[in-house]
Amino acid sequence: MPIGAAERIICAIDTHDQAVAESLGGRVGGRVGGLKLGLEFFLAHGQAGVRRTVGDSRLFLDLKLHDIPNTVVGGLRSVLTLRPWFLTLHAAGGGEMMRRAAEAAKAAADGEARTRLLGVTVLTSLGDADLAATGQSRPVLDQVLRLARLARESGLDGVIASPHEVAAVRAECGPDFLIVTPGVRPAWSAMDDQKRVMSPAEAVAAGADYLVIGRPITRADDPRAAVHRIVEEIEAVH
Amino acid sequence: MSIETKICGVNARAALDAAIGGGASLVGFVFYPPSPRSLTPEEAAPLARAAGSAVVRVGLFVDPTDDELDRTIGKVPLDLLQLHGKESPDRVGAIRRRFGIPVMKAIPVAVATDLAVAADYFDVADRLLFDAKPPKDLKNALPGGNAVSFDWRLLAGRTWPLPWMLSGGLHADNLAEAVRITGASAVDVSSGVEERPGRKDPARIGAFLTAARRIG
Repeated sequence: MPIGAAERIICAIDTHDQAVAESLGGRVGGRVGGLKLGLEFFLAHGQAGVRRTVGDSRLFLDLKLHDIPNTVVGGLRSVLTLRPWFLTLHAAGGGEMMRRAAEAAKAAADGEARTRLLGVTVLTSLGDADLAATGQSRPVLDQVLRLARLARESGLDGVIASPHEVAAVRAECGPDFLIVTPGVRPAWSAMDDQKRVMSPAEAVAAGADYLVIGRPITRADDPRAAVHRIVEEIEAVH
Repeated sequence: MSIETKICGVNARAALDAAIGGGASLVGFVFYPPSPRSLTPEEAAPLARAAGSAVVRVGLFVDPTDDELDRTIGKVPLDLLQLHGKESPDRVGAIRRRFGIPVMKAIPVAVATDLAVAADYFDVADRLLFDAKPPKDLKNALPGGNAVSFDWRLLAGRTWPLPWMLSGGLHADNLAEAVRITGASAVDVSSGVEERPGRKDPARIGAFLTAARRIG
């Protein structure tokens, strides 16, 4: 079944100010697919702060777990009490780590409401030289595809892929593998720099299932109107 | 639910440590040279970096230009901009868009009609701060931090679409009453935790935060 345009949008709550996060969550939570909270927020406010921010909305918990399999499974079980919709882990943790995590997520499933695990492949902060320095194969895109394939074979539900990786990952991993894409921004949103970035509609066209969008929504004068505008843009193309 | 506390005008490491150690949710750095609490960006940077993500780091500005904000934000990591001057709603929105940092607008309050102004900021601010309007007869009054309160009953029973904070003349001994009357879930203190204007007292910071915890 195709995903509705509004459900595709995951709003990144890009502040660790608890009251501002709650206010934003309350304003946009019901109008998007879910809300993303990251490591900084989680470490500052814990599960209680996450619960208060997300309310009844769906949670994308971006913790990028990476450790030996037992430790990752333990950490995963600790946060599955939050019933996250999506949770991230580093694919570089290896096949066994991902398999065990996938089993733990399935075991904790509550009917259809199972936590979807997403692999992080190569951090966008790394380039070819960084991969070489850490003994990994270049170029970056090859390593991204290698880790995406491994994530798929190890039972993860999908991966995080930057806009310019989406099409290649989709081709590599097929139609039933989730691709979640950060770093997209609508053409109309205020830009800090003149860098060419992909729009939400373009990312969906390239094969992304879900889009993580922060500032264009959270810093808009009217966050709900910003969501509406993005939804219309995606619908116009699909 | 516990009361959120903001210790404003932090300008020394001992005060910062007392605020974080005592459980403050926010700390404020003042970038307004007429204030005895004012810091240069160079002075504030190590304090803000030391605070890290343990608290929300607030930069207090009074009618700042983009240049001033650029200079400060370029050097000092800030999580929230407190606009404590006569910034119009358009200006508040423009600052929020330009810098991509959430904004708290201070609303000076003396009489009931002063509260009506807040509505103009609902769409452009992320938080509101109700502070006592500087007394007309006070010489060299600052936009805030004058150790005066407004009539807390003005806020009784009111609800706001944004998170809001109570400020103005609070200290450890009147905090419980202020919260009881206003229903505030967040409070801001500066002069009430100082031994003299501009000099924070770690012991008073600790006492204030303890008083806030007892309420929550």
